[in-house]
Amino acid sequence: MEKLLSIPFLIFMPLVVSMFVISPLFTKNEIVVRRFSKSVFGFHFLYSILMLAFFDPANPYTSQIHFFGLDWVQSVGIKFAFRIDNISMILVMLTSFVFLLSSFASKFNIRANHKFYYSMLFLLESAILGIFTSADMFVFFLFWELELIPAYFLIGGKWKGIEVKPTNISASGGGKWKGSETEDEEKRAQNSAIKFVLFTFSGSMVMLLGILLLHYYNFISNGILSASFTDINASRIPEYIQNIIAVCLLIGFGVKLPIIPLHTWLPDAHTNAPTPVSMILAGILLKTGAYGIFRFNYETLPDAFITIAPILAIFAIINIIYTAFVAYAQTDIKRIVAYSSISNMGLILLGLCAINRIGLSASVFHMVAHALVTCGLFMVAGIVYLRCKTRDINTLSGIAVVMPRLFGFATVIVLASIGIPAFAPFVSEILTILGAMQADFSDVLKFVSVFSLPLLIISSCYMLKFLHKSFFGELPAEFEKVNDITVHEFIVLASVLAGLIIFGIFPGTLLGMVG
Amino acid sequence: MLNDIFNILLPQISLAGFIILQLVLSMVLSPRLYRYARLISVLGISLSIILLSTVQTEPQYFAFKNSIMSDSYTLLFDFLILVCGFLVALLTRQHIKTIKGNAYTFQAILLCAIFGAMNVISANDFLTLFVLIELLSFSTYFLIASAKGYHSKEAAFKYLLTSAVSTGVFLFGVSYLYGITGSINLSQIYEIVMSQPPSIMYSISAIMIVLGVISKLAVFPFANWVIDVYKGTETSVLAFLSTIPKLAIFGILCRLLVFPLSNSFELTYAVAIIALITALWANTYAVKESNVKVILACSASANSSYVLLAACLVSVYNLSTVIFYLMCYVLMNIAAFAFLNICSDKHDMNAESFKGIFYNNHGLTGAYAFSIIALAGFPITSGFIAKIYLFTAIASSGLRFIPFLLALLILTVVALFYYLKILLPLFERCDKNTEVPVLTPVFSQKFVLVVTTAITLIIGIYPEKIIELCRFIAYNI
Amino acid sequence: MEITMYHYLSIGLLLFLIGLLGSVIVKNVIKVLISIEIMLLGVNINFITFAAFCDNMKFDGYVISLFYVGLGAVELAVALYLFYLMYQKKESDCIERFNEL
Repeated sequence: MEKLLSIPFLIFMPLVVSMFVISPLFTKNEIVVRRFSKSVFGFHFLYSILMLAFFDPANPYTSQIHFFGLDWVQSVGIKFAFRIDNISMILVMLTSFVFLLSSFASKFNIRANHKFYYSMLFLLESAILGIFTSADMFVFFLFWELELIPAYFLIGGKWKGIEVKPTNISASGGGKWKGSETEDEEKRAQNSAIKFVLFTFSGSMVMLLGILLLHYYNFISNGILSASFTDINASRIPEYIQNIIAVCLLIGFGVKLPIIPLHTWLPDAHTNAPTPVSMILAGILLKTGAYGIFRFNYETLPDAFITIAPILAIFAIINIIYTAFVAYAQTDIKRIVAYSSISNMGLILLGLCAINRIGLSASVFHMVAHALVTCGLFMVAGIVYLRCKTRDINTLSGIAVVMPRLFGFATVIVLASIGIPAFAPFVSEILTILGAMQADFSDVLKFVSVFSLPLLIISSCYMLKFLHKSFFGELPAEFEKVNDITVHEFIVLASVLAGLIIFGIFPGTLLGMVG
Repeated sequence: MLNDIFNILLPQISLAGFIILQLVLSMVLSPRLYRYARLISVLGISLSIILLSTVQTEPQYFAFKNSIMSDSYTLLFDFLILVCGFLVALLTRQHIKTIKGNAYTFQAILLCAIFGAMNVISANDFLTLFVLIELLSFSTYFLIASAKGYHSKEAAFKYLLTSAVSTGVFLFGVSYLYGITGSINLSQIYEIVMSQPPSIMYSISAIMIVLGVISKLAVFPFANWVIDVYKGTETSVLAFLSTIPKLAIFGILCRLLVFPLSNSFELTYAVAIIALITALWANTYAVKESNVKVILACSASANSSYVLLAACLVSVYNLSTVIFYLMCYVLMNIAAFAFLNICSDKHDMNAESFKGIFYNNHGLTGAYAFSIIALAGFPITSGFIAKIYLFTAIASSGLRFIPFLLALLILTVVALFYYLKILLPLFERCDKNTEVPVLTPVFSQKFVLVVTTAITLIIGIYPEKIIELCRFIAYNI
Repeated sequence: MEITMYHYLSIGLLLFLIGLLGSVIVKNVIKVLISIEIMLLGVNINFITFAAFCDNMKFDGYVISLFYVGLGAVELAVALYLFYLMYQKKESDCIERFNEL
């Protein structure tokens, strides 16, 4: 059985399927395309479950692709190697799961260019899996860059098709984002996609400088021309060089994560992307930044990370508090969720900065928990937008009457996101507090960080505001005819909820793997 | 002397034979038979490629009293130049159709330029180098001016003025070097220079020589021609202009930097700063432009500056990356210009005029988009590998040059912005009313586009063999 | 005063700089071409000075200067021809009028 489990298959299967889906050989019938893609994503999820089932933390999966018996670029020491250790395994599972969910969510949100959409979705999955599993810096960078192409098209693409303009809603006044026309929206989506690409690309160029320096100083100190993580972990790079490299890398990951001054691409991209893509962006793509910080700064440059961690913790706290307030000021549901994502990523960063086992496991746990929560929230926002043609919470009101089932799910997911016990985010928030308390910070920093976390929970009232304003109150006439959720949406929301409850009640399953 | 010809010069001689043949035919044949001109050029270049197998490279061979040399380095560059010439000659179909009467002359000049470029690489003294660079540039003036109308003349005139001035600067540098060392032979100068302590005079002359040579690469002090010339030039000639002179000049520049000019530390810094300024200028200039040709001109200039930075930090590793980068770069560039050549009769070169072209021409536009993505340096293209490889080389040249590298990397982001400006309109759906033309490429144009794109993809996936070759060449210089 | 090599060299340098400056700042096409020729003269004086004054040199300097005179003449001819073609349209010799690109 274990011979059947191969990492290259796990990573490149979506790539091959993507090429197949976009090729003229494949049918143009949208139903066939959709069902085929869903089943492939489902198969991929099952396959990753199998990999998880046979996973042994002491003995991680490794694999290397040889080209005619040679490494990939031997002259530079680049090996096309992959390695799945426990954290990679968790993130691979998460990726596969979120993509499955988003393929389910795509049914009503994507109305045109199905072949291209699903092919880009597969390509993105391949790239992200590559990031999570690569064992070589340059391969990591390759996938990091490759991911930009599908992400650009997914955010900026024209998936809406031709749509009847909502008439009665645009008459009544409202916020900036309300009742917009399709074309405007597409233009905006494209602009935010360009913004996303330029931001990430500039970050990744600075990161490339860090990787190049790391590669070179590894060669000087170690004598081996190699870019694989295991070799670099073993080398002793002088500390001032480590600091330079760490800052370069952190800028690259900080754009993706995002750390506060570098975050401005995120709300736009998340708001203007179609719902399933927002789910992927917030659920998985942001985690690549956190994973990068873990893999490079935490593991590879430990000396520099000890120096930098307190400063980074301050940034993390700013992330948590500042964006919580910004989110409270938003009126667009998707923007609220997007800012809450930044806030949560601050939590993950704080967990990493604690540099102890509790902090690390908390941050990995929160990656999973936040991915589930944010998928659910974006799904809710998408459903509301699809039915009511608006995401403005000032315009929305009383839709709980017509959508009782959605209301139920939304309430539970919102409660989970603000850290009610018995759901997964509660566990990770508590663990982060513990980790920060035990961390090697100065007393002031420890104090601030510990008290920032209740503040996170308190400022989560923006979530309740969203829930209150959009679901309660009087139902306007224009929303009277909207339908409740369909089977597809039910499946997505229910599986998110199941995940939240399972990890909330049995956190040991995940924590055991990290530890 | 005859021995010399048979040992190393057969490809060049056969090419020269074809030049004469074309010139004779241009006088004899009627203009109605213009079609065969291209075929004869292609034939001549193919024959030269075959004859490259007769060239002696091991050990180095010096011919004509040390004025011409041959080793594996020159052989590789000759091969690259001939391959580019082959592809360019295939692309000239549209162009010679518009200048029927001069078709044979045009092809003769094209062959002349390739002949000059091949010999520039093998030059081993400054006199030969000077004469051959002039041969290359004279042919280029005529190629640029060959198109009908006023614009091509203006472009050619501007190019001529710039290169006349830069030739003066080059020779002024040579004259001082000649005064210091008493020789114009590259190998002799190298020996003499290595035995002396470096002097200010030597550095000044070296900087002037390099400045004179690199004007053809559209690098800073002589860079402004590139915009006007690219704007006014026909696309197949552009495919020539952006590849072959570049290969030739970089080929000889690397040799100059490794041998006769290697003893000057100031030169390294000067060239690095020049490269930085060029990258800054080219990348920021292109941001506000919307003409595809101008954007590609700026990209050509910017790419030259990246290579220049790697080339000036002389080491074997850097040299191999320079060779590899050039190899990938010329192929991507030819692919881009092949597409522009296909649509040159239906579009003006404004980026917006390509709107929605993807939806009627999937394959062609896909290949074009792929080559632009390669120029921008995204993965699974050779551009990605080339950039990584080049930047590893610069990064391993010491902490002093890290700020330069950082600046270049940041400028790459600006470059991405203008590449997106080319790319995005291709995929934009246009209104129902406007008709998107269906492109009708002939076989040769499709062939060039497909071959260059395929090689770009293959090198992007499996670069190891090519890199090994480049390292081998760099060790044997 | 004895005239040494350095006097010749400084004349060469002076001519070269005059030519370089002229080719950059002059607005008249013909004058630009003249400036380029002056640059050529400066370079040639340099070459011939070195060839004449230094004993260990062979004839390389003379040869290069001869070649440069020849090629400079060709360059000038080409430039004048292109200028003639452009002049037919613009009827002006001010370099700033040739700005259609």
